[in-house]
Amino acid sequence: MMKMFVDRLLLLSLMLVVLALLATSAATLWGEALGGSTLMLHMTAGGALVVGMPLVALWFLRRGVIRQAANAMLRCGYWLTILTATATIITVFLCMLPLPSTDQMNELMELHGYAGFAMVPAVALFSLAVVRSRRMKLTRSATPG
Amino acid sequence: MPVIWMIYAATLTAVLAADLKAEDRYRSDSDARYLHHINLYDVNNRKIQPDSTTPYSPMNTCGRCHDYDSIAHGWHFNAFEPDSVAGRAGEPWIWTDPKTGTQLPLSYRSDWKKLYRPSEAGISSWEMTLQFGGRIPGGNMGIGQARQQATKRKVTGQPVAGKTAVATAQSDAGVVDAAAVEPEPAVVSPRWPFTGKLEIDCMVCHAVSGDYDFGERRLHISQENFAWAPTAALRLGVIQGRASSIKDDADPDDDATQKKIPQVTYDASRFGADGSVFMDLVRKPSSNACYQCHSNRTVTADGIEPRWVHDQDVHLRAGMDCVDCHRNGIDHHIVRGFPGEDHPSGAAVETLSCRGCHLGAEQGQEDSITLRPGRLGSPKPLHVGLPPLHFEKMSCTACHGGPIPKAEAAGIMTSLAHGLGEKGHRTGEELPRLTAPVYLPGDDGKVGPHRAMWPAFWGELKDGKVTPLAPERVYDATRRALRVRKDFRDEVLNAKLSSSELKELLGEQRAKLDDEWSAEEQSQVDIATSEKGRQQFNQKVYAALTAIEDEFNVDQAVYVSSGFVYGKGSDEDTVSKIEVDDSKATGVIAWPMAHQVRPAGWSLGATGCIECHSDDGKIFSSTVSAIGPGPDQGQPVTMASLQGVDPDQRLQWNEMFQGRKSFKFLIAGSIFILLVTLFVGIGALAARLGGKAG
Repeated sequence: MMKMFVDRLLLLSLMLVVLALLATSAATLWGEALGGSTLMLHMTAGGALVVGMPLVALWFLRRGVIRQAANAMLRCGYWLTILTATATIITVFLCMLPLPSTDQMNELMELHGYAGFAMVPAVALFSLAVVRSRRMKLTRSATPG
Repeated sequence: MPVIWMIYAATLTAVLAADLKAEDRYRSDSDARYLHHINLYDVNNRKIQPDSTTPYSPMNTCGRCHDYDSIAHGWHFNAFEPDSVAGRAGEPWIWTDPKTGTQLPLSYRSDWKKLYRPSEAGISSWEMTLQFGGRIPGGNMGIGQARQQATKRKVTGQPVAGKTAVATAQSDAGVVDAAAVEPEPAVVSPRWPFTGKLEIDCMVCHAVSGDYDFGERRLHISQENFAWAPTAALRLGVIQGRASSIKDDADPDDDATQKKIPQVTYDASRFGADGSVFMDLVRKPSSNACYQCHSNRTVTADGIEPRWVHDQDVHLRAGMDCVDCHRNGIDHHIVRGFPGEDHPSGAAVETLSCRGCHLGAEQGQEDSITLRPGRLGSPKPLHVGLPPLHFEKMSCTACHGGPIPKAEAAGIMTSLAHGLGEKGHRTGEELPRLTAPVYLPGDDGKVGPHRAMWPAFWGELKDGKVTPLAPERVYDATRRALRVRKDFRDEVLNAKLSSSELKELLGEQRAKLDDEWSAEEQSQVDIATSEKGRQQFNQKVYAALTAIEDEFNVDQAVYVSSGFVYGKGSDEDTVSKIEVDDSKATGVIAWPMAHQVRPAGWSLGATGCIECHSDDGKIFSSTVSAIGPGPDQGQPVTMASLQGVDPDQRLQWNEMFQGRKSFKFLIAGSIFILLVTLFVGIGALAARLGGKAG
């Protein structure tokens, strides 16, 4: 019961954070730059992702999503989420270091955008898979025999 | 395009057709310097001989081979043409009169907002020439009516007969074809026939450094010897006489008037055996020529900062000259070098701006060599660790240009406004009071350093708007009321206490010992001086406003300074502040600045984010106050508020940047865990694939 609650809590938090990131960065889709309070919100949500993503990764890893028994959709959603989140965080982290030049930063920001937007369907897939696997489990446990 | 300009253009076309065509002109077409052993001609196209007494005319001398009319529409010369391409706002002409506490920003350029048109303030082009002629290379407003005369003469193909420039101007008066009349000036001066025209003087810029005496030029312009200034500045001879000594209503044909017309005594040694004169000139003007009108000095509480504490512009240190970037063709449309500049020639000038030169044009740089970065060997800046957002929000000059920002914007003096380059005593307090750097968003929305000022003038308040009144007439009208000999502020607001006032304040014995006053006594004296100044201001300004209302026949005269509007109070000898919603009169006038450019190590933010993103980050926290000759100065406002930055949000950003270093460790830890997770996944996948293969 507790595990299910944590599953739901983490998943809900992840979805909310990703939705906030999507909403605050949507303007970049039509070429506008982030700034002011929008950027501030984006960065705050980004901070939450940085803190929360390792928890999500480790928790669901422990919950056995990579076990063969887990369904393919769940595995796929999980790994895509981890992969895109890692890429999103790494690209922004590199920009924070006094290493990349302006041009390189522009490229990193572009990659950050691609990875970030790719994370949206990945998280959606993962969430859907978790919900589906839960329902299947419940159905099985409720079926006599 | 207004009809009058179309007619003018058609007239000019006819002139050019009758004159030399561009392809008919002789050209050297070499990079080598062409030696100019040339004949000089006067305004009537007569060759100057050693015994001539008339000044040489640059238009008739240089214009024989060079396309004077094209040049006359170039950047430095087209300020008089309201329809010319103005581009980004530049420094206005600031009509300054310390006796009446006036600093009125003017411009003929219609695109430059919040500036008054000279005709709007009842100022003729002749007055503008007298006031600012020493800081323009001639032409535009300096030729006033004479421009029409030149056009007329060329149309008819007949040189205008006459003895002197006076006669030339006079003979044309009243016979000018209406078609040739320019939209400006609305106010016509009767003095053009005596002063002659201030033609474009090519040697202002093209003389070799040291060969052109700008001091002589300014002196003769101040003496109203407009037509004689080019001859005087080259020291081709001695000029005797002053056109300023001739009264407005004098008859130019009268012998008495003729005797007062300045005469030239040429230095015969300047003439060769063939009667030619060697004009020592260069194609590319030296930076020294530019400095005559484009120098600045910073003023702090301690006065004018010495030159040695400031570094030269990094580009000049690298061996460049102003004209390496600010270049032009025969049309003299000098590249101004701001981002997004639209050059009238149609030539691509993007890579002559800071951004274009160092970073390349924003589009198509991979296709065309001429749009790539690195022009003239410029280094490509890495801006390591600087988020690209900064390039969308700020101009290059925000970090690299202008005086280094301090807690308060400093005072600034410029050549155009303060006559730098002339011999004189300056304290830094002289009008006009300018301030910089003021970090404001430019036309492109990017924040950059600006110079700023607040207008101060006498005007008429009508329908909630203040219209400036002609400064010279204001001076005449208020002379008796103000009784200022040199400086409005020193003599009205900061007038010293008389010995009897000091005795009354401090006692007979202490009053005399002004170098031994205690801090308390000094404070008492300061307060009393301030009160006296305020009282004098009220009395004198009340009287001056009354005099102006009588002289100009206006209902309500006002004095504007530092964003405040002063009108007559309800009681005699009282002045009250009036709330007026007229940002043109009471708001800040600002124009972007670029030089001196500082290198990377001396740029803002070179030491890290918190140089700006902290509570004392100067680009946001530095303050500026409305300053002017009046008794009240504005409250200090931060650059952040001028930029429209929300103070709470700025505080949040600053806090965020304080924790940035720790956040880097947090994010590194997060990445580590995610990478480990990914490796676990890769390991599991590899094991699975291995198991299947087995």
